[in-house]
Amino acid sequence: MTEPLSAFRSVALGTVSVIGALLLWELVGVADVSSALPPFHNVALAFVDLLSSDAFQESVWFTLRAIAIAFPLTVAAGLIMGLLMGLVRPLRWMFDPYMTLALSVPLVAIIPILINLFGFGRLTIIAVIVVYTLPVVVVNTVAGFDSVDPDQVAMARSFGASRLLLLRRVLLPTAAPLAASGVRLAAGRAIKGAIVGEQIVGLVGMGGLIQRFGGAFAVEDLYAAIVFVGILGIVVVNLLTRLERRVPA
Amino acid sequence: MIDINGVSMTFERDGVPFTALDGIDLTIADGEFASIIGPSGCGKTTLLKIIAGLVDPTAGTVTVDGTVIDGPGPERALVFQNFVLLPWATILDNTAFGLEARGVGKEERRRIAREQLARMGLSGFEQHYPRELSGGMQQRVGIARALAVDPSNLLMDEPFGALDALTRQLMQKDLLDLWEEDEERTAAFVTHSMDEAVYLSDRIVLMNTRPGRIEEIIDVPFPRENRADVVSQADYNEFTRYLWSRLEGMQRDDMATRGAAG
Ligand SMILES: Nc1ncnc2c1ncn2[C@@H]1O[C@H](COP(=O)(O)OP(=O)(O)O)[C@@H](O)[C@H]1O
Ligand SMILES: [Mg+2]
Repeated sequence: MTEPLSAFRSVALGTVSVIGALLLWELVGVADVSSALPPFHNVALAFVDLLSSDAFQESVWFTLRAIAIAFPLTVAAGLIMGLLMGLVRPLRWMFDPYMTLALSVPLVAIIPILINLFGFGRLTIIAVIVVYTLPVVVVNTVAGFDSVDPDQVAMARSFGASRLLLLRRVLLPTAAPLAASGVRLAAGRAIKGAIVGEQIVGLVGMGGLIQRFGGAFAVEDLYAAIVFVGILGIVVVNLLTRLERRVPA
Repeated sequence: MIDINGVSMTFERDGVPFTALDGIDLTIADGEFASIIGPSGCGKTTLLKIIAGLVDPTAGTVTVDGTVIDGPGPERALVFQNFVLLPWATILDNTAFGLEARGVGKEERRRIAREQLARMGLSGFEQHYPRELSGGMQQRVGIARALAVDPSNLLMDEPFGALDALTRQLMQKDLLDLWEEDEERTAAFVTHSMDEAVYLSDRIVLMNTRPGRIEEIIDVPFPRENRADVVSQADYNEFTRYLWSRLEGMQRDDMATRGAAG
């Protein structure tokens, strides 16, 4: 009974909080405290201009296409690797060190290597996204298989269940929620990875554009671009969450 | 029939061998209801898992219906203390799990599962999920799942141990009724309740600990058919029976209304 009400309240509070923050931003901006913080309405105007500019549209398409190629690829590869590592111990022992390594080495350190390998174009950005997101999907999926209840396995075995039935009815449903949250985390990281990769490459995509705005001290444009990336992230993660609810475990 | 022959089980514990079961000999005849009772840690669960074929004993053999076992088999089914239902599957699919494992077609296994759920008083709950059911109702599903595969041997590991006293008593009665109703079935029933053992079984296997072993095997001196009467001879029992029937009625009504609502 309380659910619709609390859902409404959470949306309402979220909205109030965002409006409050924007108002504060506008006030501080108008007071001209720092050139690093232009008033909100200037950024909003820059945002509208930005949306219709050719450079922006080109950059967005570049970034979105890189993500659209790299993300499904990573998710598919990550889920398969996670499944295999979750089920086959020796595979886990073989690949675990690389996952830990990939999760702890800073992204910026790897990018120059990838540029050397794949040049200054889309291939490098795709590689950056894969390197940055794959381990998250893998590690979460493996953790999902680790959370399997031994009693449920014993139950399935006691009824003579085949390995396939055990997988379908016990192992996969157990691993699915954690694997799905890995995918959701990976979506955010895919966007982040693309932008950072493009910033370091410096020429292409939204990241390149942000880099150029920053270099030219085009503060309003810079904020507008950052806001756009933020909105993109929220939209993508929400879409995935919705998709996840639709797919039965 | 379950024939346990010189079964021992040794575990490794901090590098030291630990004898959980030491030379168990026990025969449970066809159609017999045997309770295994003993202090915690005496190896009851281990013994039941060995009979189920989930664990291999370090020594000895178990023969079920004339065949030496080397794993789980269709002539045995297990009921777990903590129910072990699949939370993502409906009550109907949970009940049908054993049949699915045995390759029974969807229509057929659902028909059988429905039948067993009806016997358990759970009609109307087919499309519910385990979390929507009380503990007692979940164990009814656990029993329905086991009976659905029509095993000649039913293995139960403290099936009512996690339930409150009232629910427990009600389930004991229903289990006994089902037992009388069905074709001959053999039961190995682990419990640590003396009342429960007396009420349900033909024989009580008393186990002791360190090492896990059989201390004594006791025949229950009342025939199973009128067990309920024996338990309630004095006037005092007349009163408790009245209270009990009231409580039972209330619980059954509660189940019936929940079933109708669902
Ligand atoms: N897999 C195992 N490894 C080591 N020790 C075990 C294992 N399973 C059971 N034991 C030990 O064997 C003894 C008997 O356990 P269990 O069969 O669960 O007893 P009960 O069901 O009678 O309480 C206990 O001391 C328990 O700690
Ligand atoms: Mg036990």
